[in-house]
Amino acid sequence: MSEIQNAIEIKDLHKTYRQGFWLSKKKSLFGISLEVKKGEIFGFIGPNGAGKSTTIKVLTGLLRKDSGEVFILGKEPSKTESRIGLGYLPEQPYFYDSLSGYELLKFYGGLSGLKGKLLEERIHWALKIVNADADWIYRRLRTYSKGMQQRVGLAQAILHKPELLILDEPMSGLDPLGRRDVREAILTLNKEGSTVFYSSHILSDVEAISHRVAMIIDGKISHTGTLEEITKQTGWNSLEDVLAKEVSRVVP
Amino acid sequence: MLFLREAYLIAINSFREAFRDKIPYVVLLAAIALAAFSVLLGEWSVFDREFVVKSVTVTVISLSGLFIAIFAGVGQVQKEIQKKTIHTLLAKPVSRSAFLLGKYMGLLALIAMHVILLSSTLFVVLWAINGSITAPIIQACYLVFWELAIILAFAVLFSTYSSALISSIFSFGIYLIGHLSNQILKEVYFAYRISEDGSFLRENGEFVYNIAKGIHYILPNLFKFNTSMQAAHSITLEYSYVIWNSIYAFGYACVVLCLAVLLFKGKDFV
Repeated sequence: MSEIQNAIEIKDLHKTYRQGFWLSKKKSLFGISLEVKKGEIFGFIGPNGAGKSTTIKVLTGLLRKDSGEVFILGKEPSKTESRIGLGYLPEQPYFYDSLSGYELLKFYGGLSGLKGKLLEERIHWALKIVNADADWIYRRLRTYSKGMQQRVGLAQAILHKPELLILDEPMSGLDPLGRRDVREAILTLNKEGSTVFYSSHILSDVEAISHRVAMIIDGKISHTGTLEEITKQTGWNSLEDVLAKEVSRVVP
Repeated sequence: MLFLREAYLIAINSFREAFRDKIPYVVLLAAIALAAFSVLLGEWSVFDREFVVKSVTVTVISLSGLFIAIFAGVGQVQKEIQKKTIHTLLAKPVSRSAFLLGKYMGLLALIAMHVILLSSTLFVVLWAINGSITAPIIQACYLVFWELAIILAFAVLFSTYSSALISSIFSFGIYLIGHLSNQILKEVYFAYRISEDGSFLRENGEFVYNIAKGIHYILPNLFKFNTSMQAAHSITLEYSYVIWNSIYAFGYACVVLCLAVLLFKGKDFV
């Protein structure tokens, strides 16, 4: 059997939400296609409401697709096995606030198949990577600041050393030091073999650490490639310029 | 095996959450209040003290258990969805069925704790008033547990697709109809038989009777689990009755949970 080359494969993905009392339809994704190769750091950018989080939720199995093909490490997201090698940090991580950070990591580690001494070791390893190996980890989560929550969120996502890490806006709401720590954590994890797929609004960070980038506008992928490829294709100097141009084209 | 481990971890967490939501403290308070209330009621009543204590206490165990089954059952699943803690949980290699089973098992443990604690209180009270702790009273408390197991399964089912308020109302409705369906069936049949020619019931009686029959057969027959009168009169139930009702409740809860899993599998978590 040939080894899977792509950590993520999306072909012609459509997604419609049903909302309100009458369950009226609102289409969010219009046939997007995307490939993320193993070992890449892949940035997923776009304005608010473009479909970044929807795509990520389809990948993690939280949303069910309308049509198209989606594979995570060669498996469909609706299958539980697809998440064995997956680590996920939601856009706004919400946790059981009556637990301490440490208890939460033990719980999630257990669900990821870790136990005993290995689990303890991995918790300390993960906390070190996200720069959170401090006393506050034994405090209740309800007392945590946004930065602390984000660190714990990232730690729970990497506990089992996932093959693929999906991060939804991992740097949002963080101070410059927090952003730097998350950036460094992404680079470290990628060096240790994880593929990283993340969405972000902070384009300077995306430019700094991503191997490849995809831009989504209004539920459609407008550009995919390396930073050089995209800027060359469009004739603009930075991702910010390209994004601004694309948005103004859709919303005149 | 992996499925059971996932469900077990979620069950432990859900039990712990219930503890931190202070539900067991409410149970403890209920137990103390129950002890005081049943002794007082026995004193005031014109009936035999032991009779009153037994009949009232079993009903109180059932009603307070109903409160816990509905509010903890609906509350915990809804809280996971509304506070979005389910997003990180289901992104782990955890199936949606393991999640629901784990939630159910954790809360069932809470219900078991409730029934055991309140039954123990009842036994202490009976001992204190020189009453007898007989098989019927133990059977009655045991059947209350199974009745609550069915209601809890409904609370989990409703909370997978509707709001907390609607789910609570529906679950309470199931409890009411489940207790009354036998009575309704008898009343409808009686009214049909005595209705006059040309009246609505005479013309449509069969149709109305079939509806009552449908409700009786489809919804859980919870009246079978209410044996407080037998307990008060010290009438021992046949063991086959107790065993068959346990099997019925187990099977019914399994079917309801399977339905919950089916609905939950296609759900979008926005």
